Amino acid sequence: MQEGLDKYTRRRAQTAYVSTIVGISLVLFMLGIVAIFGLVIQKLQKQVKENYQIDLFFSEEVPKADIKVIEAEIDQMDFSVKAEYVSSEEAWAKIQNEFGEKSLDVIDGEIPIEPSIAITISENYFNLDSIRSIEAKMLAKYPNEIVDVNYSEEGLESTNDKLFKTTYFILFIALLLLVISIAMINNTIRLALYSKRFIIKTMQLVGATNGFINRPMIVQAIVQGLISSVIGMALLVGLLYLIQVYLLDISKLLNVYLFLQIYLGITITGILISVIATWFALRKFLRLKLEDLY
Amino acid sequence: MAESVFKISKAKIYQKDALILKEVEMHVEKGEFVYLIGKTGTGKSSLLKTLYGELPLKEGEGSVVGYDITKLKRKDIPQLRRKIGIVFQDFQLLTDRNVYKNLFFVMKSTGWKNKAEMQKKADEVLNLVGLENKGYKMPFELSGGEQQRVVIARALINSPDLILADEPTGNLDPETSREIMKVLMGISKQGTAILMATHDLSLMEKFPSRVVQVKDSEILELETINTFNPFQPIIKDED
Repeated sequence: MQEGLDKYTRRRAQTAYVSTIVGISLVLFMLGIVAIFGLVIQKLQKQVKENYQIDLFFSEEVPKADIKVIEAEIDQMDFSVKAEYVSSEEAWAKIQNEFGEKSLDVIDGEIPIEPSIAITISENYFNLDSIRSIEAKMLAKYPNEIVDVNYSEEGLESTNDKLFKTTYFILFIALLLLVISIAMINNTIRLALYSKRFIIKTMQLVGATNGFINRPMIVQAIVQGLISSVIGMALLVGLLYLIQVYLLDISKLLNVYLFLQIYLGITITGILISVIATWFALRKFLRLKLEDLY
Repeated sequence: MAESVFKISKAKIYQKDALILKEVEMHVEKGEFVYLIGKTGTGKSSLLKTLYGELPLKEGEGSVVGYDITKLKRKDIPQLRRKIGIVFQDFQLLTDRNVYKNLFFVMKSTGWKNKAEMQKKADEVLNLVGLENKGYKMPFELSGGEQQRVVIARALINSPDLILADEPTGNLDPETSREIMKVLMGISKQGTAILMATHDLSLMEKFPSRVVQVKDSEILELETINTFNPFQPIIKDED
């Protein structure tokens, strides 16, 4: 009878251990999905921002060689990802290509478009104040060469607004999931430790210090966090593989560095949540009086 | 003059905010065996809990194995418990490890390092309670009496000055109870004071010793069990 009871107790302890790991793994898997989603969105946002261009139009009288020198100078500036010289002919060809050959007429044998430099702006300068400051800086630096600076204020503001909303939406979802995760892991760990409350009390009664009782359980929490992060990451990789094979090509959005970032993130999160929840649960059980155990 | 292992005077013992015992005056001397008797709920366990630091002594004076329990801090409690042995009705062995490992756990948690010394001490205390050759048994492989002996062996590891036993024979049959009593009496004769809470008057008759009764929130010193008839019980007038 006693043996049966003890086997039952041990099996229950093992089940509690396994279900804690499964619980933490699933929560980390969920957090991993949000992290991947967030990082991919961040990458897309960067791409959107770095598609934005400022065009500097130069007087017809400025020789091409001088514009090429300016192009090289701008290319080295902080705000510029890339500066590219566009001749009148190239611009004309592009317009004809986009709008059709009859869309614009050559006036008196001259192409009505000045040569220009198209600057691709770094994502850090993707706001109206910075763009205006770049405009002013360019006009001040090349007052005799530049005749016009062209960029879309509306496009910039509308894109910025969308990106802002998307970012905060993802942050909100991530935060919400983090809170849910902490609550779930905390609950799972507390239940698992609840089954050890008599052992904890026995340890106290034979003179073990709280540190001595805590140490192996904190180590166990670290191991739980580590195992769970490996399982969570494996599930995540599996899911992404299935998406790649059966749904859409996501290979360009993902790379090893991104995976390492996420793995590191969920490992640290898993260990931290597991250790903190264990520490709080232990603190509670270590303070329980004998009569409160039943 | 006899040396007191613990002494309490003018003490009031509370369980949370409820006053359980008042004007407690009690002392136990080195090597003494004292029965603590009283009806269920009179405060025997509360007194024991106060002695091992589970309940704070808020009023009065109290010294247990050299510790002033009125000034006991949380960090002092493990040190106090290392100098006393605690034996319970339900055995409270660590069920996931064998007898040796139960004993080694106490040793490790109380600062023992040398493995050879640990093994020697474990064999010594198991021998003392008559459980030689049972070191590798798991708790569930032992009978109730044997488990209780392991608990007593565990309580003896740090050579305590005092053993507090809360109904240690409560779950045992009469014959096994007598075996446990023989072990406890033997330990007491070797110089360890024992305060044992019990309801078992037949054991008190068989193993006579000093008796202290808890009644009406007070502690009463009674004559030794040698000189009164336990079957005209001391608790009878409570009914």
